[in-house]
Amino acid sequence: MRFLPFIWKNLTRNPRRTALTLLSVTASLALLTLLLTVEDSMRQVTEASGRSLRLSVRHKTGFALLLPQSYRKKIETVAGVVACNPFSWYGGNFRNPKEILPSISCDPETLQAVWGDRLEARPEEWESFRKDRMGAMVGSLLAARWGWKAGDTVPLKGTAVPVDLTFHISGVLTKSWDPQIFLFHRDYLEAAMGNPGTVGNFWVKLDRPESLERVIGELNALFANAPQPAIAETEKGLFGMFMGMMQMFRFVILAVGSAVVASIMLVCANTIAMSVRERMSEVGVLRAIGFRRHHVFFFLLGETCIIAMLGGVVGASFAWVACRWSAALVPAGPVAVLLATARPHLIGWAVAISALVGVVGGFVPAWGAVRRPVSQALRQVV
Amino acid sequence: MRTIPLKYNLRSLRVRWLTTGLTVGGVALVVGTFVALMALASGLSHAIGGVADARNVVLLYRGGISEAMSRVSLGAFQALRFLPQIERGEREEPLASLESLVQINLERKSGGETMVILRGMRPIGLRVHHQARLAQGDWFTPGTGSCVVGRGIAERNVGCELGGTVRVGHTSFRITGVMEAGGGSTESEIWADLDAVVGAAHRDWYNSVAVRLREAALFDGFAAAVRSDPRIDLGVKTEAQYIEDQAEGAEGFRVIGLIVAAFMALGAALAEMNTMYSAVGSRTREIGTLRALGFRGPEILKSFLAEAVMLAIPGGLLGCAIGAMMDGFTMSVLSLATVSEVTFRFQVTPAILAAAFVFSVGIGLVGGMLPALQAARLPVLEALRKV
Repeated sequence: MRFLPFIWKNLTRNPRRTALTLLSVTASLALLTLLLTVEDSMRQVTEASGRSLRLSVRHKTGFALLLPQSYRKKIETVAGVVACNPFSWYGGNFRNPKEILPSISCDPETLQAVWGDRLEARPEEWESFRKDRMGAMVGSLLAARWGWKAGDTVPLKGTAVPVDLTFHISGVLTKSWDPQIFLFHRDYLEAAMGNPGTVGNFWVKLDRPESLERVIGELNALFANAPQPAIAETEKGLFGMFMGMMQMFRFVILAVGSAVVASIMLVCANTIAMSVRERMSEVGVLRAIGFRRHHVFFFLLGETCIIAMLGGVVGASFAWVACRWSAALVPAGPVAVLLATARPHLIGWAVAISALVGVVGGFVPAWGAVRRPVSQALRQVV
Repeated sequence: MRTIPLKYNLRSLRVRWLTTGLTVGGVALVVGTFVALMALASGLSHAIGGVADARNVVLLYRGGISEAMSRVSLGAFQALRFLPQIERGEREEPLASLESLVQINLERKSGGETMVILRGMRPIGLRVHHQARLAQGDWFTPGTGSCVVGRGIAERNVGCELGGTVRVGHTSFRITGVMEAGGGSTESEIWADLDAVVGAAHRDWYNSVAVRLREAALFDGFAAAVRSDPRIDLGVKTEAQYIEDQAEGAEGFRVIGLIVAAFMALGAALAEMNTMYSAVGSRTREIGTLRALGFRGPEILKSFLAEAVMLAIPGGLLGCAIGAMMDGFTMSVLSLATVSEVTFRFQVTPAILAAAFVFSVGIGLVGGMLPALQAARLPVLEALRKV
């Protein structure tokens, strides 16, 4: 610690170089933080559904095929089932035809029983949602995007479902599995479409973890040979399937992230190498007046470590603030969700990675400097 | 002898080999990443869109953005089918293809499930989508429960080879052919007879209509005829426009690639600047000597800029080489527009490589400009006196 002022003095001796290195590391770290954010928000999707007591029952062939609503009664008779909620995709858009909102019809009566752990809003908002057939609960990000608040009237245009519907915003969800979700009454959509009696998938809430496997087995047996064959799977399994199709992003993040880390390493190594070149005789002097190799080594590494950490803190904070600030400005879609779910602990990770990489990068040039015999170092002229 | 020989710069770079190497490595990383990301975006946009045919037109519900998010009624199709602008085939059958899209789940060979598009069409649809070619077997025939799978699907999914079956509810489709379409999205689709698909999915509606016009110039007349008919609640788009809308996701990738490259380039340019400042700083006396020998400021500036570019170019070439190795690398991703998985190959095009090279020279110039200016402005006497 007592050598810190000395390291600082050395850093400020060539302020331009320090500033340039710092800026360079900052730019890289801002990018690395953005990449970590993407990775983290993908992780959050499956993490949150890991321990839930929810099952999804969907058509065996895929989501594009619908199930008859009569399956609900059959599902509810299975022991261990607490509540069941039919979801149907509406896919309306608001103003911008290119932004398809994740708008889904559901049964408001069992919504909290099934999804209560991942949907939160004020009690009076839930109350008004239940009472109003045209009511809708919207995710916080979607509400922010269009400036919606409780009481607003919102017309949506249908796409896959060819009906236009007008809604009243009943409340804004402070917590939801998708911050852009738009949930509304199933009866309303059914009536508008002429009561087709179809359901996209059923969400089923169970009483306890032990029931999970048994209920999946019973439901699968129940619907295997039904007119519309259906399968039951855990919430994690379902979200995991969608995430499985997003693996490419993980790969790209890994590849680009490695390139960024390597470039930080090169920048730090370069800075140290240049300092060492110019200060070789000083290294000799330090050694001559009694500092040991590890002291000098520590002085040099301390410089990169400080630069890398400072760059890390600034770059990562900048990236995080930028994410949060821009989330409500971009169109609905995965990018917006990703920006909104940025978690602050990523800054810590980014800074740690940066410091580590800085030290690793500085290792070889610093070692090269202290390894040299004192006499030779003293004799060195630039 | 008014110009400083480039050999001087080359030798200076060689003397400072460690710093030179580290800087070159940094630029190579940036350029390599740039090439790889651009190749990804280019491959993805090709795979999502394919190649547009100027005579082909796509009709979607109220001019929506994706076939998956569109609903077409039989009435609307019948109303537009006999419009005069549409090309006729044998026995005067119009080249208008009513199509149904059903996303179905398949099991991946590598584990897990994927979603792909099962597209139902009447045989006339094959005349409209004439870009698709058979790689193996035969096309589907109505009434026989047969289907044709894209090459990508046959390669990646369980039981999807020639002779396998695809199940939709309780209906089975036998695979009688494998098709290819130059890497386009068709290679990630399954095609079967329209009535069989609609029946298997228990639907009474369709998704889209694809039409081939007699000639591309008839588009405006066709669009006007569709608009003026109240029975047709569909929007008309050229295939090129449709593909452009679809490829917006891939465009997003290109933008992300550019942002990533910009951040990394900023880092690399600053590192390059550092290197060049250090070069100028340690060679102050040399610069003084050069000035004393009669070289003018602008010459010094040119020389140092050349050195900066020479420092960046090997990095650019190395990066291009690294990026070019990604060519043909296969990946797949969920297309949000159609809610299905699309397989694509990285495409490293000459344009991308050229852009990458220019990019690396740009890094050299930006990073070298300030240090070179400083070198050019050094006062001769002071520079000579510097130890």
